Amino acid sequence: MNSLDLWDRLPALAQDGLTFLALLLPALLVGVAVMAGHRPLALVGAMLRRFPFTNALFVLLIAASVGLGVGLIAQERGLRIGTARAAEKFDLVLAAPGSEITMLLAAVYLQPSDVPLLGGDVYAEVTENPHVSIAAPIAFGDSYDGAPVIGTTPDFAGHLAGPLAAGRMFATEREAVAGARVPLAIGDEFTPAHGVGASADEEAHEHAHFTVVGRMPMTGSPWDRAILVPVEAVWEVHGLADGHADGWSGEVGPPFDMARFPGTPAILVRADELWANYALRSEFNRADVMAFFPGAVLAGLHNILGDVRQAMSLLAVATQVLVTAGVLAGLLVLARLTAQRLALLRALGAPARFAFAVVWGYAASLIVAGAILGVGVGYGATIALSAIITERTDILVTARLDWPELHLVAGFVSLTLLLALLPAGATLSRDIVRDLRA
Amino acid sequence: MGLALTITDLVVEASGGRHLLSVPQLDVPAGCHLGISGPSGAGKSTFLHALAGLARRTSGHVLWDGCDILALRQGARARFRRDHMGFVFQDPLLFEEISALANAGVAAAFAPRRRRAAVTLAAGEALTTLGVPTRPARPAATHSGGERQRIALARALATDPPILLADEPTASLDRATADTLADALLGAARAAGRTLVVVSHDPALIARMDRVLTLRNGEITE
Ligand SMILES: Nc1ncnc2c1ncn2[C@@H]1O[C@H](COP(=O)(O)OP(=O)(O)OP(=O)(O)O)[C@@H](O)[C@H]1O
Ligand SMILES: [Mg+2]
Repeated sequence: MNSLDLWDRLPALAQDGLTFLALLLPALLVGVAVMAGHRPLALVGAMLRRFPFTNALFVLLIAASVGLGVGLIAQERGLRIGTARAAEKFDLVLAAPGSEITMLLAAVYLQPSDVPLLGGDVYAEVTENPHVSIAAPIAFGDSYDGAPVIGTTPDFAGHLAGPLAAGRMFATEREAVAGARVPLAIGDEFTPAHGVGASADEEAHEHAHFTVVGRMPMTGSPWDRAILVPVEAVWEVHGLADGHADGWSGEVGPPFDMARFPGTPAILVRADELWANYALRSEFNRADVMAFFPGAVLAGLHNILGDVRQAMSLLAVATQVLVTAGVLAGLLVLARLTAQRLALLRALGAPARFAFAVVWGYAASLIVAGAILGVGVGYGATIALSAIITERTDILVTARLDWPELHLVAGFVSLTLLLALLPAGATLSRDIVRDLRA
Repeated sequence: MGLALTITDLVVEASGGRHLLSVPQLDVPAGCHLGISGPSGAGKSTFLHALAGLARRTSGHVLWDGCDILALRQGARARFRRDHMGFVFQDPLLFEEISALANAGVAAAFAPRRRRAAVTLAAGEALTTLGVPTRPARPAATHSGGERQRIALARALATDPPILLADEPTASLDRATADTLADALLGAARAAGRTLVVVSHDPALIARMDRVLTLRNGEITE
């Protein structure tokens, strides 16, 4: 067993922790090497107190640049996890051939768009497959008070939301289930408007009154802001066939009658076996239908996002390096301001290493304080941004610190603490007598 | 016990090459109290800096009990100062943010572990002898000019050095305070038999020295 195997066998936490320590190790080693055997901390404290405002400015600058990097990484991951979570109940989507991304946005994230419809023949074909457990038509385009009104089947609504938070699933054409963030209570009535947003026509469906009979729990997806109604009701409200043969009992949901199936922009499919999902995807990727896994499309988008993140991370690192360079230049100036005190120490017989340790310890204090504050700043920014994104998109984005950003900070601290050796070293070559007289 | 000083052919140059100081020959026995006087700009501080191995562009020999400090490398010179010298600079040069005691005992921060406690203890005693209040502790910046000069002297005494170099230790003090400080300086020097070199304009202090030299234009006259 070689060492790579050994590494792979370690639990992820151990790998991350060890990577963190390895990145921090140069800083720790330098710290021990520089500080060992002396007690420079009192004088480091004196230097910190000597220029409180300049020091605070340095710390804030470092914190801002570290926060940028931390925030960027945490935010990108939050978005990735949030969008994936919002899509995870959607196994397979069938739609008329076109853009998978447009369909993904429309069906999963409820972004309104005009898409061609699939007919009853495709729907019938899907339902004939013995492995299909849910095949739900979907209907969108209406809204109430800004909330999209989505027609679908009780099965799919139940699958999407899990057990309802309150009330029951819609069972007749004029019943509705409200998403967790819809400001409607059980028993409330509403009339949907035709269309979504500013162009919605309030009067188009004025004879269609729905009653809310249940509320979904939070799903962390745009469906939290949606009102779910039987798909038959949407068809009927728009003057289309209701999908059922004559003499329908009025019980909503499948089976539908092919002859009276008005069409659907997408069929949301769930098979009872994983392999069956793949089989269905191949079967329905053809001239008149396309089939895709939202998760796979999303993964492709995330890859692009990942590339963008890498580009942005490079920018963030460049910013950090620039800020650090600025801080070190500032430290050189500060070291010059404290040159008289350092010359005094050396005139009193302090070893060069001691004076060096004082300057380096001073720089290290600013850098470490800035880095720690930066983690807080980045985390805070992520909390704020995540809240805004969740508010605007209903995709639940949670702010969380994870190892990648801690690795970044550890690497930054190590690099800058090594760089801080430069201003510390620069003070040693100075003329003691001249500095004493200054 | 103090160290004997022997200087031969000492020359200190300015960066331009001009002679700031030249001392062809000087012998000071161990335990001697040597006073240096002379007009401003004569090279008195430069002389003390050369004795401590601080000056750059030096030639010749400054032997302390046979050890030529000018022949030592920087690290060894620092060690020599640390182990054998107390220096009172012309300007008190304190760390303004830390206490009088921390200033007087600053050498404890870089002294060998076993000597740290002794340095801090001696610093406290020196401050008490010199009449500098240490309780409650407050930043050195809040101490008066005279107190600051005494803190600087306490700092020089804290390491119990066999050589004491003092540059204008009583400048800008009133007569009574200057006399107290001079008493403390000479008392400390005499008690341990230290070799003392004092630069001063103060005739009262100079008068108490065993031997007095005058520096003029970088040249020494008896
Ligand atoms: N690096 C240098 N380059 C050129 N001239 C210098 C340098 N250092 C000191 N001097 C000059 O050398 C002379 C002696 O300086 P020093 O400080 O030793 O005088 P001092 O006798 O201590 O004077 P004071 O009583 O005013 O303290 C002064 O004229 C000073 O300007
Ligand atoms: Mg002088």
